[in-house]
Amino acid sequence: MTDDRDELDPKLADLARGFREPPTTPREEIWTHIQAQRRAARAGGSVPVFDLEAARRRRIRWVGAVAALAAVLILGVGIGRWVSADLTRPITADQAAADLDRRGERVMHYAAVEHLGQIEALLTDLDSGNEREIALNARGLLTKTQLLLDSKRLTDPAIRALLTDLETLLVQVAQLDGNGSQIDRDLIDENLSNRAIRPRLRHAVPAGPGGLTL
Amino acid sequence: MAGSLPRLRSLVSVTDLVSRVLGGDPLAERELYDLHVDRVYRLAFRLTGDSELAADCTQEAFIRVFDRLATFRGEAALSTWITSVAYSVIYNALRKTKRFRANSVDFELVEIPVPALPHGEPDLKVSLDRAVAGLPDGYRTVFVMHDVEGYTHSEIASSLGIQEGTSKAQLSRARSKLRQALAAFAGGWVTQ
Repeated sequence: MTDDRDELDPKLADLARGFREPPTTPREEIWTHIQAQRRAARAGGSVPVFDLEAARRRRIRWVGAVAALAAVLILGVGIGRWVSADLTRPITADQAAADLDRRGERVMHYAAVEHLGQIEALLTDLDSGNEREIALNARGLLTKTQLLLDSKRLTDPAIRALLTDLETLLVQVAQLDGNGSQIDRDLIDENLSNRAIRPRLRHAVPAGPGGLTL
Repeated sequence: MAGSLPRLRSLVSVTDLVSRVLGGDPLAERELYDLHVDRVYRLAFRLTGDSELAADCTQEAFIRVFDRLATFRGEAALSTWITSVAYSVIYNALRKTKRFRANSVDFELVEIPVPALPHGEPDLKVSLDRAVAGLPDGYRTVFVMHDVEGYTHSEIASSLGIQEGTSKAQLSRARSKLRQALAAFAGGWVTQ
């Protein structure tokens, strides 16, 4: 039973090679998820062998857990202030839930602004730093950007739009290979300039410490 | 003799790469990923027909590869070992998401519908895709790996954990089923 004897007609064989022609491999996207999962596994949580639904929700859960923890802390502080300020004011369940939502959003906004500050620093290094190192940092920031975009608690449309543009930019930066490709650099510069990314970042990130409070 | 030197160099470079990854070198991890990701993703996409599922499988496969690389003994080529890990992930994913049942029909029981106008090229392509997708799981996997992706029987056998003879037999049956399914097109290729 040799292959030669069984060979399909060349025309049919040629058509068969086009069966479910794969698209271009989304290398960077897959790599950032691999890195994120491996970091999470090293941090203590075991990664399930294969759970498709969990894989999709994992990022959202992670952000949710951080937001929930922060919200609990803020709620604690808030309750303390409430109690001391006005013990007699009546509070309904709806009001409490709405307050919680607002605080969750503020926490997420704070995390996003802090993240934007890190990206701004990366872009500052872009002209002078080591390309490989910058690409590596960009991959980490890309993952965080995607995590933030996945969060429903991040509601500020300007920040969401900026993060969406930054996601594309970070993919380009993450692909820098250290060989100083002018084409790559031109694409990044074009993106920076067309989307007015630097001015928007300056606008979104408050100058100096203390510019942002919860 | 001339051919053995490049093979030796390749062996040394694979061993070196594996050692660097095991030593925790992040650049080596990326290098290993870059070398093999296309092959894994292509196989995953061909077998699942779903780009998101293929990306998930590729991701999961490489997580396993990195976690288990210490168990790689070099008995097979690294690419074959990675394919075996990937296939296991793909198979589990298909089974878990029940796409296996949705996508595959028992060829022994069901007739493949043949288009009314059999001689048009697009119809042939559509029918061929449908016929390949409708092959029994084992036949389809071997057919896709061998005839579509160009794996050797030796690589298929190592990757799937089967005998080379089984791989050849399944390929032969797959081709035979395809010929039967496409007989209505009865071009010059139907050779019984």
